[in-house]
Amino acid sequence: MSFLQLDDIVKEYPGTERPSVADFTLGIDQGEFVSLLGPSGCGKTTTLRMIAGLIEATSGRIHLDGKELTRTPVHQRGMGLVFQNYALFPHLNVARNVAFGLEMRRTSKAEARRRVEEALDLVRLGHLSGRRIKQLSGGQQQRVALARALVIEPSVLLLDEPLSNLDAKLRDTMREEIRSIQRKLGITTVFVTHDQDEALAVSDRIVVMSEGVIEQVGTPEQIYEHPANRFVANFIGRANLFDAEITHTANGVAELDVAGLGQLRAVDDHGAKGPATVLVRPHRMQLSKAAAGDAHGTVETVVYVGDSIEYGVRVGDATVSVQSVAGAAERLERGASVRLSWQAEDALVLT
Amino acid sequence: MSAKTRSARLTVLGLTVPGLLGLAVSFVLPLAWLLRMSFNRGDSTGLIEETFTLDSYAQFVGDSYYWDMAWETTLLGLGVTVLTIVVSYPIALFLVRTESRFKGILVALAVAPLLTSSVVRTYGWLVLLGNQGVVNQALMGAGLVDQPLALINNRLGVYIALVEIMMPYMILCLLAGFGRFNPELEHAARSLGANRWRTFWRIVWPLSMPGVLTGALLVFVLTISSFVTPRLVGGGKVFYLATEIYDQATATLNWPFAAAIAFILLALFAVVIVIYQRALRRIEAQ
Ligand SMILES: Nc1ncnc2c1ncn2[C@@H]1O[C@H](COP(=O)(O)OP(=O)(O)OP(=O)(O)O)[C@@H](O)[C@H]1O
Ligand SMILES: [Mg+2]
Repeated sequence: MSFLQLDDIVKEYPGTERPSVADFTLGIDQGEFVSLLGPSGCGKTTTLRMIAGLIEATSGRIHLDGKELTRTPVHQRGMGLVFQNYALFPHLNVARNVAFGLEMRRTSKAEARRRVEEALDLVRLGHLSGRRIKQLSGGQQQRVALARALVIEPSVLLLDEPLSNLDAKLRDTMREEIRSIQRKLGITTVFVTHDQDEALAVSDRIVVMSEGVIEQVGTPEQIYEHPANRFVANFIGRANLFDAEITHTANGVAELDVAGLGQLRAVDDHGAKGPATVLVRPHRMQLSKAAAGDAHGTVETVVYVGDSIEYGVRVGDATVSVQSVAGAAERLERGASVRLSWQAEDALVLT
Repeated sequence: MSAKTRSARLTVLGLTVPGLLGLAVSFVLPLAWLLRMSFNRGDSTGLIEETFTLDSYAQFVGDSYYWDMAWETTLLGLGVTVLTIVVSYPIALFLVRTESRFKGILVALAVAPLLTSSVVRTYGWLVLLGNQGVVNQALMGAGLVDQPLALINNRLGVYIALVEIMMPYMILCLLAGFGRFNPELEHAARSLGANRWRTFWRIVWPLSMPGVLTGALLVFVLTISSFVTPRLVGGGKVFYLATEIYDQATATLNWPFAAAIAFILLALFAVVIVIYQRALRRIEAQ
């Protein structure tokens, strides 16, 4: 059993036809940074709140450090929560906000003062401890919320889209900061986000969810390079998915007959014959000019984005995205007839 | 001054002058006239002598009967205010917290009593609380009492009726005053180790203070100036400043004395408003 263990968690809100979270089983190790990633409404917040105890699970069990938590009320769980809108107490100043959790624990005044100071220094806000909340910027409020959650030395830190109210630049800085604080304290963390870049950048492991169920759990690399299914492939990064027929498999490589592209090869862990879906990331596609009779398709769109050029190529009635490094190859014009292909190791057969 | 700002000023002037004039005619002038009246000499024959004397004020101050009345009036104001807060607060909190799709309807229902005049609602309470009323019938029917309880023609009835009549005002003020509150703050407090009780006193209650104060001011002022309910439910047996003003003006015909009491009541308002402003400034400075 892991440090934080969720078993068969189900949440059905009254009056909804399907459960918002179903059969959620996940083990999280001590000190691990795990992201819950998925589109809006997939049940990330619901899951996080069940861990926190703010929402009661319809069924299932939660264990923390071997002890059953399912019936423990919120205020006795000792978890640190950071909310999307920060939920800072507007009638208390920065220091009093951070001190709140310690006051509830009846920590002595002197110790509380010391720990509040430490926590504020940790998030680099030591100089603002006397400020009122409404005199802070969004990023500063975010840090106060983090300090307030960390000062109680929680067993688990739970963050619900903590960065979504910040502008893009600040978001990147803050996520690095959260990650480095998390590493420094070695605190077990569950981080909810719908931003795949965020999840890829900070997580030890990512849990991809859709419609209340787990689609895949894995390291960022596993999730990106070996998506378990079409949903994950589409959701993480950009993806071209091709319908193909597997004619032969040997040594983990499948010979394929790809609709519109002919004979190609791809990595295949399944070894089954018959119809399949093949994933190729746009930057792994190869594009070359061809004579009209010999072509797979025509270039429909050309977008120059600085580092690279993004082509949309029409093949039959589908559009294939191709990303090529600008300057490395001859630039193709709209309407050009092209051939498409890939290296066997750059393509993956999905179930 | 550019033409633009001049025309803007003219617009402001044009918009405010009618209101100010209306206020002057309907409020300031009568009040001035009333103040002047309170310095005249009156007697119980209804004669009013144009003069400038403090007799009416002296009569009030010199008589412990009126001191008691002022005290009872203050007590009524405070009592009704506190009781109204106690019964309205849970309702307002529920309405703020609820995620029901009937929230709008529930809020409307809570303040719907404002749609009927307080005179009608007072008669309603007479029917409910009288010796033959629903409450006494029920109590006797259940065998809890042998004799009907005296629920009207006394102070108890006045308190009961006024608290109910004031509730919609209080609920409205509380709802408006909950502006900085959001249920997520309770969740945050709970996650930081506060039980429900401490979450309420440390987070919910302080954040509702603006609404509580405004509601308290409004209810206090409405209560001590209310006349119909104390008069009808009190059955002419209990006396407050507002009922006394009415009696002096219409029964005794001592207008100067009625005017003097009115100004003493006004002074009470002024004291309360000062207290309110002080309190408001204190919670805002937090
Ligand atoms: N109180 C509620 N009553 C009924 N249904 C709810 C309630 N809260 C959430 N849901 C439903 O449960 C599902 C999951 O909601 P949840 O808030 O967990 O999604 P999320 O993944 O956090 O989405 P987002 O990225 O938009 O925050 C949604 O379909 C939502 O409509
Ligand atoms: Mg959410």
